[in-house]
Amino acid sequence: MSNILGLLNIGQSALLTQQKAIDITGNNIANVNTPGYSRQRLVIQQSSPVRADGLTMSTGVTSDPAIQRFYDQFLGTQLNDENATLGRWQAQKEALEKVELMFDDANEFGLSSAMNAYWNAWQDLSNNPSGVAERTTLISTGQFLSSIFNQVYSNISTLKNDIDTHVDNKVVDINAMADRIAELNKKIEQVEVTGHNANDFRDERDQLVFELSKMIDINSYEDGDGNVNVDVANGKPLVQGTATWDLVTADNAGVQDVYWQSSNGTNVDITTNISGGELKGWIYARDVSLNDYMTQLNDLANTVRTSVNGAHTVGLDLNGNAGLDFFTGTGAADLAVNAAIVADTDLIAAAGAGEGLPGGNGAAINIANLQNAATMAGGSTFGEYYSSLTGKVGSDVQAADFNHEHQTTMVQNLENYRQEVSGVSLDEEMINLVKFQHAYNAAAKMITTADEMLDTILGLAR
Amino acid sequence: MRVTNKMMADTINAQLMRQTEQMAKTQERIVTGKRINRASDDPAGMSSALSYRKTIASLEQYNDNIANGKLHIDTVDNLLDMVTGMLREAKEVAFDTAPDMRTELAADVAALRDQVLQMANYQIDGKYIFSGDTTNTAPYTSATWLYNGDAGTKDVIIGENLSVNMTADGRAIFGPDGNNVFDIMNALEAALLLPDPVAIENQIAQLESATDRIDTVRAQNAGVYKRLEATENHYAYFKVNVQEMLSKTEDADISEAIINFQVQQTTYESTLATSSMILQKSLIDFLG
Repeated sequence: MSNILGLLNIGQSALLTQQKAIDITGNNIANVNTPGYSRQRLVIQQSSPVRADGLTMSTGVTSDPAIQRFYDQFLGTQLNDENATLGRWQAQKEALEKVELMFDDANEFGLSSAMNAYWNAWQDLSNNPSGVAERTTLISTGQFLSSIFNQVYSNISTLKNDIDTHVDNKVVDINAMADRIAELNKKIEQVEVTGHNANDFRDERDQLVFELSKMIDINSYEDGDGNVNVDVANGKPLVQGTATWDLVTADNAGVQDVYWQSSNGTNVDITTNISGGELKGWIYARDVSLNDYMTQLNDLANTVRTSVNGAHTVGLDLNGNAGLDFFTGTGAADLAVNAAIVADTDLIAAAGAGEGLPGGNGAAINIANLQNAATMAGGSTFGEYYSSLTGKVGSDVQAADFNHEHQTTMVQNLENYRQEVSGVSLDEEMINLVKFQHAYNAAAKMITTADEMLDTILGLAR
Repeated sequence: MRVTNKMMADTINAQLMRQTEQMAKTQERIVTGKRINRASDDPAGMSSALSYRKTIASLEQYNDNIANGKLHIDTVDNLLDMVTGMLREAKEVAFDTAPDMRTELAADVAALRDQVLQMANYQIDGKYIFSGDTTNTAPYTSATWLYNGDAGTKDVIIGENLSVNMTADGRAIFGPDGNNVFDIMNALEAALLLPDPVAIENQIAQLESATDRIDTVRAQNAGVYKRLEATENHYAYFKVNVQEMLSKTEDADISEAIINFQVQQTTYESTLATSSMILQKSLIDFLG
């Protein structure tokens, strides 16, 4: 367009385009630290040329209404998968580390030393079967032992309740996030139907899906309309376009199970189908690890109770009567020294059947020897059984810790890859800023030049 | 590779976190002196530490039991030594044929008999030691001279499922009812008072066999004592070994931990130094 007004048009398009580019650069700089932000670029292209005076003349610069967003879809999916595994181990580690504190044997306050003290008290009693001090000590070590059983067991039960609360809260969070994703699906469709890119909404939605993946393992995919659909637990839809399905929790045999609510309102139990995310970590710790520990504690408490009672009831107390049950209770939770014996230490049966009183100590010796008897299933002693339980708790924590650390590094690395594509580099933006600013200045200079040219022409006419 | 600002910040953050975590762990080892502060620090080590601790607690208890047993044997042996001395004196009286002193000698024998009774009814901590398991019942009374206890023994646990028994049955020590040391001395007293020289001489053999019976018990006790002592010595040695194993399992090597800590600290400081340089500078500093 070889006329001066055309020149002004080129200058104007250049000014506007460079200004938009600076605008976007500024936005990138502003969001350098925003989680989930993907850097943006103005797509700059030449305007359509025109034919004039036998020449094909260019007409300046223009920009695509769709602003480019740097994003790697494949990386996003991988990151979500790894994030689900990270969430799982993080939750499991947190839960198990709390259990580990209850097996406080590294500091010699645990069940192990309580058991040693208890069996030794029986040996002391065998040395002086009618001694009041020995009998009183035996009662107190027995009470200490049962109180530790009670305490560890009830602490684990409390922890299970805490986990139930966590599960409830997570499910509420998941539903809220599903709603927000559906909302964003709607907004993105509205924006993009006009040919624009809904970059900010997409970033927000990707970030939401990423956060959601930490809570529960998801399968997410984008359909042809730009909607993100999210499935959980073996293909149960959570978000499809603008529609959402709710997860609910309900009590099932004493623990909170997770249900998926279908469109017609029926609840489907998906607890065992959840395979990742914090929900999986909490549920696994609760339903597998903690249950296992509680079962073993119960086994131990029950075997201690029945074998001590077995030996105690064939013995004779100081009144010459057969011994009562030394321990009462039905498991680790309610193990206790028989209240009658606590009230009257004479009822401790130290003498074996047929032995003289009060010097007989056959029952005391038999009970003291239980410490070294292979009484537990698998042919281990009480002490061995307990130390293998402690070892199991320890190695469970160790495994969770190891996996958590590995997974953290994994997510960190993927996050770095994501940053490599989507992240804002300030140096790069500064260079762009300088680049666009110079272009802007030059365009302004061109307009001044065109202005002077017009002046010159108008001066001729005077 | 395209390096972005957030990436640098995140990476530095993660590294610093990891390093401070390691330092905290090493610090904990130095402060507690222990390598294993919770089960997950070394699950297998924790299991063996618990079993070593159980062994140590048991050994200490066995040593208490053994000390109790040794004290018992010491006391019994002292008493029985005195009893044999008295029996010897009674025997000397029986040998003494001086006819004009017999009434006084009979009184001597009665006194000796009462002293033996006192020994036989000796109590440790309020409990009779020669009446079997019926430790609240005096084994002998001057009314009947019959044994009132039972056949129970004094039992001491000295190891895993291992106990030793010591004779506490008065009949095994002082002789069966009707022919125990008191009956013999009563017979001697009566014979002296009559006087009946044949009966007096008869009691000499009886007193000798009573002494033999007591000596047998003392020899048995000496055997048990030796066994207790040998076991005690063995346990003292064993306990040191187990304590060493325990220490090797759960104690931290302090010098190693301190060196580790210094290495970690150096790494930490150099990370801080380089990070501050990387994070502070950008192109902005050099643009007019």
